Amino acid sequence: MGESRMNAQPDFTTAFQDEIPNYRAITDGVSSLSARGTRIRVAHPRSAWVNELEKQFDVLTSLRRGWDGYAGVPVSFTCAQFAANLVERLYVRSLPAPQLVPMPNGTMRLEWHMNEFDIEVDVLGPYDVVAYRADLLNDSEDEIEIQTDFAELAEWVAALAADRVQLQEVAGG
Amino acid sequence: MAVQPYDEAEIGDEDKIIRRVPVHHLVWDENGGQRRRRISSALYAKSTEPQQGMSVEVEALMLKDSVDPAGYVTSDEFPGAVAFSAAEIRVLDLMVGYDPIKDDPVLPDNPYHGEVWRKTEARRFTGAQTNGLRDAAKWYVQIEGVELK
Repeated sequence: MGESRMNAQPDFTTAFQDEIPNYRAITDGVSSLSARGTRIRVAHPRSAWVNELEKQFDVLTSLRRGWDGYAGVPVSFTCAQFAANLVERLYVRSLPAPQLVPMPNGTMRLEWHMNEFDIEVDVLGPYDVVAYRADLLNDSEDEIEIQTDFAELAEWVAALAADRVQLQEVAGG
Repeated sequence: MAVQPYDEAEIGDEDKIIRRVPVHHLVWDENGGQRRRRISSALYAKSTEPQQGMSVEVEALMLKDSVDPAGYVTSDEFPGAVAFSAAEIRVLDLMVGYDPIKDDPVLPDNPYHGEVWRKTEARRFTGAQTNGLRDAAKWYVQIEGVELK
């Protein structure tokens, strides 16, 4: 149950943002708040998820230093851009968009909590992702570190649309 | 961060260690048959820099200065706070020490700032440490309508 349509881009796109003056490397989490030409862009026609999350990406890359009450910095543009492309890649039409959670050091996380799964995807940078899944029905946990092969993570996301209660009943669980 | 990771002997096991809860660390959870608002486990993550930890405040230092801790650690951006005992942190094989913030060009001084560190350099707390902090956390300043986990 649950129709899924994987967004079958063969490769992650590079940033197609507006020209950004004084563009900084990934390790610099301080956004140029005075140059608000920074926008998160995805090159190909965008999924409903990316459309829905565009404003939130902009919010997270514009957070003030100290947003968490301590030394938190805004999500770096590089991290957000990669995360946006990842969201595009993971899109499943029947599922809600992930929740976006900033981390204090300029990285970010995608989260889903539904269908008796917790999925948390830490985007530490381009091709530097750690994904965690808790299966609340089976009381199990998995963690995977991902550089380029996102197939398993895509399977995790697709499973959010599965009819687990029915599957469990059929299995006698 | 100016301080090398260490465990502060002056911080007693029963001392409360406070962690602010920013609005950006609140998520919706639809598991368990109902939609509810709760704290993301992201709150209990450390900085990915190997020698950096997780920021906290040490309640005892605020009380010593006659500062109201609840008022000090909250604002519109971080409307709540959770707390653990130092013992609950240490039993997870973590350390807690002072790390005051002073003369930062952007951040306000915070003489009550501390840090929770792993004992070895690593990008993340272990899953057991993160889960342990989450399970030990109690509301210090509760956010209405938000659950701890």
